[in-house]
Amino acid sequence: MEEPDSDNANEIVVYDLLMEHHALHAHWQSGHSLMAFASTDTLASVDQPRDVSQHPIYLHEIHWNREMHSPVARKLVNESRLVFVGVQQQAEISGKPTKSQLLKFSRNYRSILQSCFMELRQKFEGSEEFDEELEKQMQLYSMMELIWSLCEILFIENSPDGTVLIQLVEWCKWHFPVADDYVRLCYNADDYGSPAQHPNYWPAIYTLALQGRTSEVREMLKLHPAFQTQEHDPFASIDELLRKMPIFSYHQSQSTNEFEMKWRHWHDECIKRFYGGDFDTMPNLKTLSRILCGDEGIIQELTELYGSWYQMLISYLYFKNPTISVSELHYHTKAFIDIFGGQSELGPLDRILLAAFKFDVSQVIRECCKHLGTWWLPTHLADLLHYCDLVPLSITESGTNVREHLIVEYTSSLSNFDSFWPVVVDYLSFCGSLSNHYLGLFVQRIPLSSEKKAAKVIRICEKRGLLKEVESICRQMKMKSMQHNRLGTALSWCIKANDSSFAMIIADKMLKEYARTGLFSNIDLIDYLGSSVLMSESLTFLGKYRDFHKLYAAEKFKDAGQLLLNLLMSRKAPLDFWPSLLMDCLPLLERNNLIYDVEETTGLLACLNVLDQKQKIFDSMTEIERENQEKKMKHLRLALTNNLAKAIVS
Amino acid sequence: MAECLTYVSQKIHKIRWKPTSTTIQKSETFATGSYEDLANSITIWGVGHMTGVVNQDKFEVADLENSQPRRQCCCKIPGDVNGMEFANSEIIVAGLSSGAVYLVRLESQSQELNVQFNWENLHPYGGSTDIAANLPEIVSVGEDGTIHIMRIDSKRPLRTFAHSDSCPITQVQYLNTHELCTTNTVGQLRIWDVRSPTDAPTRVMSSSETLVALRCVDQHPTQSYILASGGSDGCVTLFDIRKECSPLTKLQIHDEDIWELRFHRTSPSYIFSCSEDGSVRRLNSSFEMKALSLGGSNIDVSELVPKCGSSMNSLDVSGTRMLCATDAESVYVIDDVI
Repeated sequence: MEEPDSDNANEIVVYDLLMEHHALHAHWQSGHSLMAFASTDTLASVDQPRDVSQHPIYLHEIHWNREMHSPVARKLVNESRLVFVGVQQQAEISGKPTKSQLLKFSRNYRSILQSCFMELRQKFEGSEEFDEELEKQMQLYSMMELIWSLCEILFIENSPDGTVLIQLVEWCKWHFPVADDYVRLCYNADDYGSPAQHPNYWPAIYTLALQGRTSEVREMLKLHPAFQTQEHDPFASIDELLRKMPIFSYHQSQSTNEFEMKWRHWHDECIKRFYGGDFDTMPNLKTLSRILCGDEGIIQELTELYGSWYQMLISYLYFKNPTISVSELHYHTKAFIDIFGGQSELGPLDRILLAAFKFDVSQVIRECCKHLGTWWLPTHLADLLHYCDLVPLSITESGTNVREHLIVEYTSSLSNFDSFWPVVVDYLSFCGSLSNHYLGLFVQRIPLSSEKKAAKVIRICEKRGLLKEVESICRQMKMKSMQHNRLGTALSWCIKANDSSFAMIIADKMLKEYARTGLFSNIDLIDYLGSSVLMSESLTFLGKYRDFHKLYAAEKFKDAGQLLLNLLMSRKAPLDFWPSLLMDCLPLLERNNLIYDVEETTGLLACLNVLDQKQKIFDSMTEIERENQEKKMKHLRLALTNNLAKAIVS
Repeated sequence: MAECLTYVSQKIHKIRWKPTSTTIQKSETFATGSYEDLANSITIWGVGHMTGVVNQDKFEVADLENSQPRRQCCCKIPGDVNGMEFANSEIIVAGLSSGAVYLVRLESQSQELNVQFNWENLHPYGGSTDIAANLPEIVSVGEDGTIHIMRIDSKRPLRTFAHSDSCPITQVQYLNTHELCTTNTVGQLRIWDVRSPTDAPTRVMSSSETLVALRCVDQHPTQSYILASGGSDGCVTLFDIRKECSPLTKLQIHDEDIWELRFHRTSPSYIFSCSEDGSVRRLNSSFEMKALSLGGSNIDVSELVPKCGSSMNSLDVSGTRMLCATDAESVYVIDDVI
């Protein structure tokens, strides 16, 4: 178990006047942040009164690792998300992506890194002041691209034996433009007459040669005033050697053995010419020929032309053993590291590249996690290498899958920012066997700031079968609407969640409101509920009651009366609503036409009697209300009796 | 069809072409309104001439160097931009999640964007969800079911339909100078008369039995009685407001919610729609009412942008060019859409 590394701990000082007498407390927030505050709980002794009123009370938000929210990082996150999802979908379709598909995805990632780097560089060059932050970011992106491209060559491309060095030489050429810089300096020099007079002329030639760019070396040599094509001339000799250097190309279906033979033949010719004194007259050409011979001593002499041990390693092997295989590379690394100062001088980038040369994938990932400021690289690299079967299943002590662990870490770094929530959902959906579990946890923490966002989150949950979470979201939205007294909205959420019990509560509330004020607050919804009205009995009742009002308004009194009777007789109405219902009979009874016949009127009287017996309804009323209620009941009884009389007579 | 994709490092909720003085002129400027960001803003972009270049696969692609949109100016806004419209070529109105409505002026000389006027706290619960402008009037609708009609020079709203909709209103459009239509989350399309003495709508039309939310609505440019609306089930519903309340026809166009729907202003036989499923599709129909209501119609659906992996939130079409904006913080500029 690793001890917490106190040297690497980050410290921050929180200024707060209250902290003179009170302790600093903090609570974790989601993502990389803490809330710190002065707490009155501890430290306040009996002698010191807890007088906090003189100073304002602050909550301090402390956060770190926010670099994923810079504009360029956001571009990286969003573009690479598409590629990531593409990889997973390809794996779902065909079981495992083929090497060429993986290579294509890898190149996609690299081009995204490159375009981010270009954008940063444009910004950097365009700004008037030196921006240290931009420069740091540029370094990070170029480092990530360097690491990725090396890993692509060694792990993903994994070329057949003999060809890896050619790719590594290309890699050097593109990433370390040392030679191009020298060449450019030579050509731009006006005060030296010709490029050949420039002090950087020979360094340009040496570095071009070390990068294996023989045709460009020949071009440069032609600029030398002493260059002639006569035989026995040192320039002509070296030109011929350069021209005839064999370059292995697997496109030409040349076997490794054939190439090795050719190369050995050429190599022997180089050595012969060197020892034969061909270049003794021109010390510079002698140096050049020693490079071509793969002379170890020359490495020591030209150290300052190399930027790093890995460039040196690749150059050396190119001229010593061009058909070396990937697994043999690491045997040579120690010697070159020692030339550059040994193990202790290795920086973070060196360690990562060294692990790559050693073909130790888990070490590469570990080093990337430790030294790079972002989880982006190890996560996406591990994911791609996972499909090459190169990433070991577990390195953490808890035994979690490496890839899963990295995805969770990456998404944690993103979940600080509200805007990345769809990205987090996408990544968590593909993180392995626990995907749904993580998704369930994450979805519950997405702040539902608007109805539209809730709808989007619900859509995502439904797609992934997270039905419990859908219910939970509907419940949250429902409660929010209730808090703001938006009964209609709350009802629509109940319907969406198929929550009949809560729908009943809302329907009852609406009915109570009507009983109290005589007005419906949400007619516009209730009238258009359609089949959803059958969800709960109270809701059905409400719907039917509205129908009664509509019929009455349309002057279809007979139908209205029948409906009202049905509602009362079927006992569907809640008891405390009966007074209202019965009072609704009154205008119908007072009409000239007979609405209710004998049986019906008797039924209504029976209802009235039942109501009289249920004292508890009247308990909640005040004196005045009770008096009014009794008056109304009397009036109603009278009207019903009259109606009965009329009915019997007619 | 030339297409150009740019990552803009902001989630865009609304994107709109700047109106040009004539319909023949191609619009070269557009505005975007962002959301769910630490600091939201309205940004003006310029798009160059999109040239088609034939690449090695013999497909015509946009000349990206020249046609990538360039940021011209921007204005910080204190809230998610939920609704945004160009009221005219210099004024943008935006409805925010904070419940405020902002009026922003684009100074054409100095290329600056400044807040000229704002109405605060119009929708205290849930914020404004959409905005429409018919100068000098501006209308804002919110999650609280309230409709506010403002005049451009007055702080107090001219007219308010307070909580007239029980459910959140999702979009609003002007039908003519005194009529509005709105859609809400229980699938209702409502027509309101601004001059009406009561707070009730003049018409309520329901698009489905099952209360599927309607997310957007647009009016046919020439046949003004035709309204098309997009729903949460991916269906485009066509209404004829001269007739009774039920919809004319319903077409399944997308798999998920349709966030925005636009008739092409000068070629109204085309409707463009964008959806949560990440695609943009185009319907082509003569909108013959008789044919549509009988079901035997000649409606073509073609896909302009295939599913791009994240929700397509907004689109706008001007001439032959279309803009669309996604939740993946990217903007598409597509030429030759008709």
